[in-house]
Amino acid sequence: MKRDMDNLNLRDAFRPMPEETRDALMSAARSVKEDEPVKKAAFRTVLIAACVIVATMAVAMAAGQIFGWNDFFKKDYGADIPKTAQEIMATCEPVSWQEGDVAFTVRERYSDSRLAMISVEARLADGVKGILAADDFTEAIGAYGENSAAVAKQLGVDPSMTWVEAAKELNLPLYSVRATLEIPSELWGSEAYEDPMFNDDGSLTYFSLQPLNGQISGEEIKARVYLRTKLVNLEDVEDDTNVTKEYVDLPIHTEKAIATAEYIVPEGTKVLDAFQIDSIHAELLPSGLHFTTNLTALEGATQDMALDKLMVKIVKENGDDYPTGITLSSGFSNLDTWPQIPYTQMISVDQIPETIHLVFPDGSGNDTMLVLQLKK
Amino acid sequence: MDRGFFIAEIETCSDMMYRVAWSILRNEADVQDALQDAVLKAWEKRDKLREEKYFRTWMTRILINVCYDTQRMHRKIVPLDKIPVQNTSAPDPDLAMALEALPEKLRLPLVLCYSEGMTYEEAADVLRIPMTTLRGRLRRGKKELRKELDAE
Repeated sequence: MKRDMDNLNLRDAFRPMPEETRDALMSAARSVKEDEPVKKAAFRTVLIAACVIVATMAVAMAAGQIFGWNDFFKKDYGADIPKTAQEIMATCEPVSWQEGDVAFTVRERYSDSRLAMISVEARLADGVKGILAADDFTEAIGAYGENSAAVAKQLGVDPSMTWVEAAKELNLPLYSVRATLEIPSELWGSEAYEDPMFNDDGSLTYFSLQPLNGQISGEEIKARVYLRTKLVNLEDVEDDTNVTKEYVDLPIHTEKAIATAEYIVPEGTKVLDAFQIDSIHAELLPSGLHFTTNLTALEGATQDMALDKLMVKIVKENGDDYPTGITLSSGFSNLDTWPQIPYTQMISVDQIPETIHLVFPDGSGNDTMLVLQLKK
Repeated sequence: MDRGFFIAEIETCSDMMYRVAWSILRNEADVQDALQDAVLKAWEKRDKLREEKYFRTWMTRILINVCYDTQRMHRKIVPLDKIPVQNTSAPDPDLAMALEALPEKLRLPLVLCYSEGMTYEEAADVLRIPMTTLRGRLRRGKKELRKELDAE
């Protein structure tokens, strides 16, 4: 028998906490003493991938302005996209299509050897009234935080209300849209991401980014955009009768690297006593600085160790993080070249630093730190 | 943060902590150990909590890290009494089995958002992943959960 996914209560998947476990937990809590010293870690706590700021920044918008990539990045990650990439994106000619009652316009597009990204404005066509949502229309409107809570306020509903509930209450049609960048799979790097931001005029901007593997530079990518519009059946949200979708071609030129460099790694430098650092390459792109740390797994090192423990963090001299790179990812997407491991990451800066500080956390506070100089 | 506040918050979060730890470790003995370790670790690091209103997400993050440490320690040798058991005493055993069949990467975001009511921002902060990645995993997780439930 098919289950009603919208009315599943996931808490029913768990048995109640046994009293013995509750007693043990509360006993531990009551055992703490006010005068116990606070433990200081040797290094700052290391964050994996990007840093999500819980207290989001309020973004002030002039009426009629449409959110772009820099707004998206600044809102969630507190950093600007490097100026060079912003300038390239600003020169893009908009390209538009219509899918059903929704007009899609690619406002920004950019690519280099390490990523391809677009932002697409989705807007109800002239004369069409309704509410525009992304693809998670059964979620609370306020689930995205301040940005989507503002939509609830404009609609005059509580942000805890779902999009479907709001459409029913206001007696308005509900449109769900998606606009994602599709890149040939042979160019893929790490995990792609997509997300919307809601503009104050009822439209939304859909952001889509695919990290690339460095194999293309200075050429054109035969990219496509997947456009999907669904007029939601408010009584049966699974009904896909009113869905229109298509793939449209969107060639994107890949920008070349501005500069490349290598750092001096003392011979025999090891991490976790299991991995040797062979080299560290830096590639300065308009979108930021991309690092590849090439390691070799030594005898006794296992892939589990690499997956569980191997982390390379590049920090400033004072230990602070650099602004996170646009790809929002670091690490290795697979171990196909074992025992060679290329560990990649990006930071959002416009220059190659003369000196870099690397931190290799071992998970117990005893981190290894290396200071490396640029090879002249 | 004073001791009284800490104890009160742990009591408030206790059921949530149990469900999160169970969804990773799936073994009562390990869950009990992880809960106690996480509480003691949280007290040690109490100066890291920026504002008391973020206690729940902060505590959840510490608990998840402790659960992963426990998993790593037990990966090589799994005594018979520590092999994960099915949660047949849950109110909805079919749902419990379907959830447990999911890979952890997809299971945990579902638990945080749909069992514990965290927002995307809170869950992404707890898991230290971008919100966009979280949403992708929620989408895939729901699809896989539906497949598991339909298969029963």
